[in-house]
Amino acid sequence: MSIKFEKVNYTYDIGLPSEKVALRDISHIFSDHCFTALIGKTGSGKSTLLQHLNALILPTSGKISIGSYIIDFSLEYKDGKVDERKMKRKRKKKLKDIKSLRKKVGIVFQFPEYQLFEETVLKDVMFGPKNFGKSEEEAKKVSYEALKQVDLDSSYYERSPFELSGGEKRRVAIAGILALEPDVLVLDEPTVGLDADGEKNFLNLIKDIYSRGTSIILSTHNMDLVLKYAENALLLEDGKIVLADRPHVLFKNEELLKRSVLRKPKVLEFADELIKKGLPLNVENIFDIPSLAKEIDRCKR
Amino acid sequence: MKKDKELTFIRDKDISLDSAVTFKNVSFFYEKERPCLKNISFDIKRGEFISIIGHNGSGKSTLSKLIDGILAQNEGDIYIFGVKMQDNNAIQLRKDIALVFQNPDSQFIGATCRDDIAFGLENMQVKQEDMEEIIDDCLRKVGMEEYKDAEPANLSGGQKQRIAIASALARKPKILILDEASAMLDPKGKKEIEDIIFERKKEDKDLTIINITHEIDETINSDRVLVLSKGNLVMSDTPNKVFSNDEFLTSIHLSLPFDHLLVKELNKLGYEIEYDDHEGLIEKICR
Ligand SMILES: Nc1ncnc2c1ncn2[C@@H]1O[C@H](COP(=O)(O)OP(=O)(O)OP(=O)(O)O)[C@@H](O)[C@H]1O
Ligand SMILES: Nc1ncnc2c1ncn2[C@@H]1O[C@H](COP(=O)(O)OP(=O)(O)OP(=O)(O)O)[C@@H](O)[C@H]1O
Ligand SMILES: [Mg+2]
Ligand SMILES: [Mg+2]
Repeated sequence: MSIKFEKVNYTYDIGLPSEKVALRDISHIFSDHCFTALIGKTGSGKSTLLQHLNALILPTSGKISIGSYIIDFSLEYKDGKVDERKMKRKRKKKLKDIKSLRKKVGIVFQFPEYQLFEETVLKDVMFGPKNFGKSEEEAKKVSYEALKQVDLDSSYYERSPFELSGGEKRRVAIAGILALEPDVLVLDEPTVGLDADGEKNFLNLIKDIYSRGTSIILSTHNMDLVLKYAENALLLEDGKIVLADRPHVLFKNEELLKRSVLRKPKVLEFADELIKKGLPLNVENIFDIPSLAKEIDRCKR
Repeated sequence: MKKDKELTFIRDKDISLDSAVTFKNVSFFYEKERPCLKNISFDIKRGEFISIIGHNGSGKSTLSKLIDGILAQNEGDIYIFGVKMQDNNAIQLRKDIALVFQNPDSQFIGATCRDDIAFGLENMQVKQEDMEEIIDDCLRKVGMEEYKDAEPANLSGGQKQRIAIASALARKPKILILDEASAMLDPKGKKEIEDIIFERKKEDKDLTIINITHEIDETINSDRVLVLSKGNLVMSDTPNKVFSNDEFLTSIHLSLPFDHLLVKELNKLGYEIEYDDHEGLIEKICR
């Protein structure tokens, strides 16, 4: 299922003193089977964009096609000016069948606590599958599996999701979305708060989910993650997409890196230090620590 | 009556004069059948930079709330600058402590970013006429001056963390506790916040910093690393000593700093390299 943004704009609090433009003229196609990482400074618009992917936020203007589901608020003109009356009518139409969209596109929020609400962890994870038509038994089965995938054992099932540590809450929130088995998995800074093991297992898990056909769209400040896992990186600056390309291409663009707030992944920063000292590494071969070690080895031979 | 009150601020003579935070056999549980912190003892010195690491649910945030007096231990004693924390002095002792919560939303009290910082200052009895200058200065330092009148709830994740840190710094604490406080900042933002905190530390050598984090690379410059596992304090040592216990750390779900991980990979490929420091490692590889 591909997702297409056409000239999407979004402004918070229109007409209020707190009015804030968050997305500017976003046009982009998330391909049928993508692993895309959104990166960019604090406040650049990542969370806002991600919430458009399952219509939690509707564009101020522009068109979004999510598979066959279409939200069309593209601008209508009359005599060279925006036809406000026509636009109003467009926005008034109620969105049909939003539930089917939410089943296909699952999103894990930046602050997981805001998606937890049930009395117990197990009920919380089961809510989604049940809501989308699974029987109690089936819902239980997928929920057990999802909780296992985030390393929460049965001692957590009957506990309140609000009385957990930060990382445990994140795990429950992730499990709740995994249990939906969506076609597109949207994750807003999913590794924040996970311990080292939790992060490693989670990344292996989404790599596996991706290889089985699910699209992954996430935001992160972890550039090593982007380099190692993402097929595509989208760099946002003040609500605009300034680059959409392979991570290696992005991290080779020294000028852009200098101008933006990014740092290279740690593996590439380390490689640069070695290159400066005369070791002729080929950075294209480097995407994580083992491959950096191998590349060092290759050069030393 | 007055005398009683004063007595509660007397230093305990068993606690050394340069102690900032002391735990003596502290235990805590949320629910009796699930102990959360088990018989924890440590002594953090004035001016120390401490990192706390540990797996999810190991008890780090709980520990920070005990230091800040938000939660009360079930057993044992906690001392702040040598003074035993009790029901009747916790509020007073807390004035020297600023805790930045793991989830910034749970600490905002003001309707605007300005008010949020002001609130903390009022509690510190800062003079009204000095207030605006301090607020502006703090907002500028964290790069949030244009959000002065914004509602904290309507900020992006990283912006929330910047305001939470600004509020904490404005109070000029003697003990600063950061609970994953910059986890949502972009890489350069993280560096900026680090710089601000260490600038403050230069001005006040006695500032005690306790940094709770999952980013192991953040801990390598700390004086000491405390390691929690399942509610136990399992290690308390210099970063180099802690990270030489490679297998143990892995067994409690933790990882190593970048440089150490690379050395391990190179060892696997047959290079006999030992880790001393970063520069040394670069030299050894290029040799
Ligand atoms: N509910 C809201 N009301 C008003 N403005 C908002 C709201 N949410 C976000 N904004 C503003 O919109 C802009 C984009 O925010 P967004 O949350 O999309 O950023 P982000 O890229 O996800 O940042 P971060 O990396 O810090 O999470 C920011 O300037 C932010 O202050
Ligand atoms: N409000 C609460 N009620 C009951 N139990 C709780 C509560 N908060 C935390 N716990 C439990 O106490 C233990 C320690 O939690 P704490 O939040 O201190 O862990 P942490 O080390 O900060 O973990 P994380 O890295 O995930 O933030 C966990 O097992 C957690 O489930
Ligand atoms: Mg965000
Ligand atoms: Mg915590």
